[in-house]
Amino acid sequence: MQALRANPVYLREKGHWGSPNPFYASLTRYSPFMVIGAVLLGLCAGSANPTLFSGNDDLVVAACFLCLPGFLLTAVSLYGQFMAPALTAPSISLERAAGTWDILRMTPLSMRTILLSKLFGALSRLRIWPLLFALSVLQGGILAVSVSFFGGDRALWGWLLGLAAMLRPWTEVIFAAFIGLYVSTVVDSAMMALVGAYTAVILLKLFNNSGLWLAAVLLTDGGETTSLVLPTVGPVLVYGLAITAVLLGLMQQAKKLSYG
Amino acid sequence: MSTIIEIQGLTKQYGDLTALDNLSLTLQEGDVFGFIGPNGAGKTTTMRILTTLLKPTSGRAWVAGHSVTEDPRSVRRVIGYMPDFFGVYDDMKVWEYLDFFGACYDIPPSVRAGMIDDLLALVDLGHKKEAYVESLSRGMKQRLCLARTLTHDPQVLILDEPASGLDPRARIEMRELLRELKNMGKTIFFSSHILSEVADICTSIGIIEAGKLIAHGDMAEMKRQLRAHRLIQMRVLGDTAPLQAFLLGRADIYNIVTHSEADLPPETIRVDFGGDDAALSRLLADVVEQGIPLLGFQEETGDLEDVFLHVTQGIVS
Repeated sequence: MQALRANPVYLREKGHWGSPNPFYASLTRYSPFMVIGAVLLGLCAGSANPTLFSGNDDLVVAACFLCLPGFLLTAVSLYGQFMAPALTAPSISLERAAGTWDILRMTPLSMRTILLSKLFGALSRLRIWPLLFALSVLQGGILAVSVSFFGGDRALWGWLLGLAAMLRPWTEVIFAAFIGLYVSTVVDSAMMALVGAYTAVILLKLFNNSGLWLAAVLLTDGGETTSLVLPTVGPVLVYGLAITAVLLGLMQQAKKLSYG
Repeated sequence: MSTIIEIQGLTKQYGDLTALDNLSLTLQEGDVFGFIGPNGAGKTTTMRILTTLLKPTSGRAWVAGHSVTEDPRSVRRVIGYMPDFFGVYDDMKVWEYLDFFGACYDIPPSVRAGMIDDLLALVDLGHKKEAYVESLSRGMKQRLCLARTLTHDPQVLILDEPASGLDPRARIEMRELLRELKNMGKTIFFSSHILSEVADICTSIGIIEAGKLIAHGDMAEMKRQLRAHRLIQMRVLGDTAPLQAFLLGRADIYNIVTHSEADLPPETIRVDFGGDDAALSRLLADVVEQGIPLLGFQEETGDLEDVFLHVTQGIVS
């Protein structure tokens, strides 16, 4: 960590020397609108909770209280997923376009160091991490406790559901950042890298938010436990696999980019 | 002097295209090597292999004793590279640009401040220290890029077309800068299309065409090797007829051109001479011995363009 903080590429991405990413700089001007949009989307995602429409005022109050971290978490996660590719996708393609990529490769820094420094440097500019941490722990905790104590037959699954709820927003944002960097290593144009990264983020999001998991429950006739666990844990597993695949791809690219 | 760059049988293929064909070359420490050739001849490919940015298909190369394929990180520490499409970060200030690359080469912050001032003074950009890179002219950016190559005080500088796209003034400034680096003892390996510039500053040249090194060596020596006959101008006091009559009988004189036949000063002839330096010295002594009133005796040096046109055929790989 200390080595990373002293790493010039990491510091450059953070903005220590100049302003490396004009795309992100332009996007941040629209941040308030994006936050409002993300909050609205978060509310829409959370409003599917049937308790809100049960007619029982006590339950509505409880549901609102319990769902609030979820609304906010969804909003923060959406914001992160939108901003992360804007930070990582231009990081290498912009260097290529400016003709500085070869010069950077010529330094004694290894390609893995350059890529990791660019990734962490870019992500350090995304100022959602403390909030994301607090909300995800709260959301995961609420789910774990509520299912463990009031889940009846499914109480044993509480810890897994809580963990999945906590990890999901992290995996979503990390995937968005990783895929941005990966596409950036492959294409020369920053605009193409952005388009590629956003396409991947949206496609995976659509895949996870489609009725796929419910369909899987119905097809396998998995019962109530499966219908509770699969739609929560499944997307986390998918994002985890996607992150692993992109990470392997990045390592491959690092080898390729060191020479050639 | 010791060998600083050694290339043995370097070949680079892109599919069916051979960009570099079995190139071998040796450079001594302190050499200023001009690498010339038509577009697409393989100059940049050679430089990119030497700078560890490209892997050769076959062959080996060493820079300061480090193999470019087996020990690229050590090679990177001893060379400074300026690509043809030089890169600068437009969003940085001039001093920040050098500071960033100084940090990339592990130069401590306390040393960097002095180093930046020295480098900017060297490339005559001290007055632009606080300016943004994007506000610099092309020539200034080129000089800044050259200063960047010197941040880690490398032994070898590899410069790909350092003066391309510059106006005449900026070109002269760049040439002066290269001279200064030569005086500092740096080994410079550079490519150029501007042949007069190469001839002015380099100690040796290599001519590459279609991926093959077709000529290589010391500048003066190469000119001599590549020209089968030497052209000697002789000026006499008065009529040139006695001199012509004397020269016609010699076996080492192939042709004589008078001032009326060519664009020569009056009372001057040009002879096509086929001999080495010793034979040339004897010719001068013989002419003087004949009592011919000689006023001038000099070899036409020709220029690099002649050599270049003589050895290249306009083939592009």
